[in-house]
Amino acid sequence: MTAPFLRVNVFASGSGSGNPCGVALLEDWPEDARLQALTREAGVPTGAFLVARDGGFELRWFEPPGPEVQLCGHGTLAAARALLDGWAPGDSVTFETRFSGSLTVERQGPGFAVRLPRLPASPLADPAPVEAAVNGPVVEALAAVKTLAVLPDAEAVRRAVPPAADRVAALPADGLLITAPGDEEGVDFVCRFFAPHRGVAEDPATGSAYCSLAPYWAARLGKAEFRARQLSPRGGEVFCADLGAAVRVGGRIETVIEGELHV
Amino acid sequence: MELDLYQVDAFAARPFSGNPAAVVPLEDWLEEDVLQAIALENNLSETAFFVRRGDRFDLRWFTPSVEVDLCGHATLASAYVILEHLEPAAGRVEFHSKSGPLAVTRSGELLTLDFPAKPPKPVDDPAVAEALGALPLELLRADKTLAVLESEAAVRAAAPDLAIVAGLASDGLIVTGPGDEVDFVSRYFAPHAGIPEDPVTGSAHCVLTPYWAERLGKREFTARQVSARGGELLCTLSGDRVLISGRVAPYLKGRISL
Repeated sequence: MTAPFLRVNVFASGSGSGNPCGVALLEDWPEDARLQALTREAGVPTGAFLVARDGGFELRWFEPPGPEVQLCGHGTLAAARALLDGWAPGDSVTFETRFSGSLTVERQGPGFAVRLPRLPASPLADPAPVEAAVNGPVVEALAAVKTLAVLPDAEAVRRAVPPAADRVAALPADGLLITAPGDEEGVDFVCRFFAPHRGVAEDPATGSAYCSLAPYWAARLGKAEFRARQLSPRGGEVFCADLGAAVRVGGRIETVIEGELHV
Repeated sequence: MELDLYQVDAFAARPFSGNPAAVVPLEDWLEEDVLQAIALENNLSETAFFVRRGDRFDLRWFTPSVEVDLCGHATLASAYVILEHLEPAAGRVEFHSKSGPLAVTRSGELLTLDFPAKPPKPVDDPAVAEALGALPLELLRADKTLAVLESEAAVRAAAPDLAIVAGLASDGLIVTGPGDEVDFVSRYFAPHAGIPEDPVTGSAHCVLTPYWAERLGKREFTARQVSARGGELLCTLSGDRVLISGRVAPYLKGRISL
């Protein structure tokens, strides 16, 4: 049996940039181990799987060897691209997920955008573990779901060395997100995300990071819409907005492979 | 420009086993940096490209970082794509490669590589026992080092120190032993090439087959590479050649846009 398959780079800003994701549309849910195997086999870090249900779509994400992913921004945008530009054409789609409720994606500008929970970060009483992970002083140390270190300038973000797993594991929240004002024309802020304690030395472009970044920069810059660059080796470009009750995270999506899987 | 792309598992005994490879048929050669970029983006151990030249095909292999001189499993994968999709009536494919001519024949579901035999010779290298944490029953070397252990269980349990293996004066380390259900089992470690353990390795069987032929006094073998993914091979010693056969399981058929 075959299943429609699309491999894309999400938050792309040129060939070979952005976060790779494979999307497959299945007839029904197989065992989790099979979804892990299909993801591994496709050579992608993230697999997004869709099953049509009651006129809509159920969406799940896997990043082997880890457990099922609870919320994956780039995997949601990848799945929307596969449907709206191919398997179920349209301008918007709402997915039902197991751990993160309903997620809605709409066409926006040259790409797609998803509405995600707004997760403002709070200042940490003790910045020492954050400074240890960054290996230098920080302007601010905050935490929401992820630990957020604000660095003085974009060059400090660009030059940051991926931190050791034990230093990141010692942080008060999951993974280290670093950010600073942008230093290129039209770029409001830059960032990078490290989660070596979960086997991800550096994530190429991280949708969920903007759940906390958009509210932080909204408060600091006094505006609501941003163009951001994730300065990972692959690089990513993200358009995000603080909507007050939620955030909107979007970007361009580049097709890498269009085809079918033997499942 | 759009290109066809196939992802298949070579030497697979069941889905999601064997060694994965991507295969991209080309009308004509593209610039090397384009081939390298495709292999990098595929992110599989090897991507094979071929171009038809008369009766045969020019074949090249790329890892995500470099072009390599020889890759058995991606050759098997390329032959599968040609025989399954491009020339279903043919029973044999001839390639021309950096390692000279290579032929693959098909018989039913089995595809067979014809590779040179590399009989190993006894060698004394204390670093291997140090890497394995125990003395092997026998230690031999051709291009690859071959450590013979007493049983399949010992081969499965082997956890060589890869820092030591990376420093061996050879193309990686094969460990082998008699199989419980097949003639012999093996594993192959190539940390010097950036591969801690290879899932299934055609070229390791160029060394293994002459060794087991000498030891068991026969020419045809059932073999299993007992890596995490696992692979099944049939090996035949034929003079100074080794015929290495396996099945190929398709995984993905698609198009890439450049």
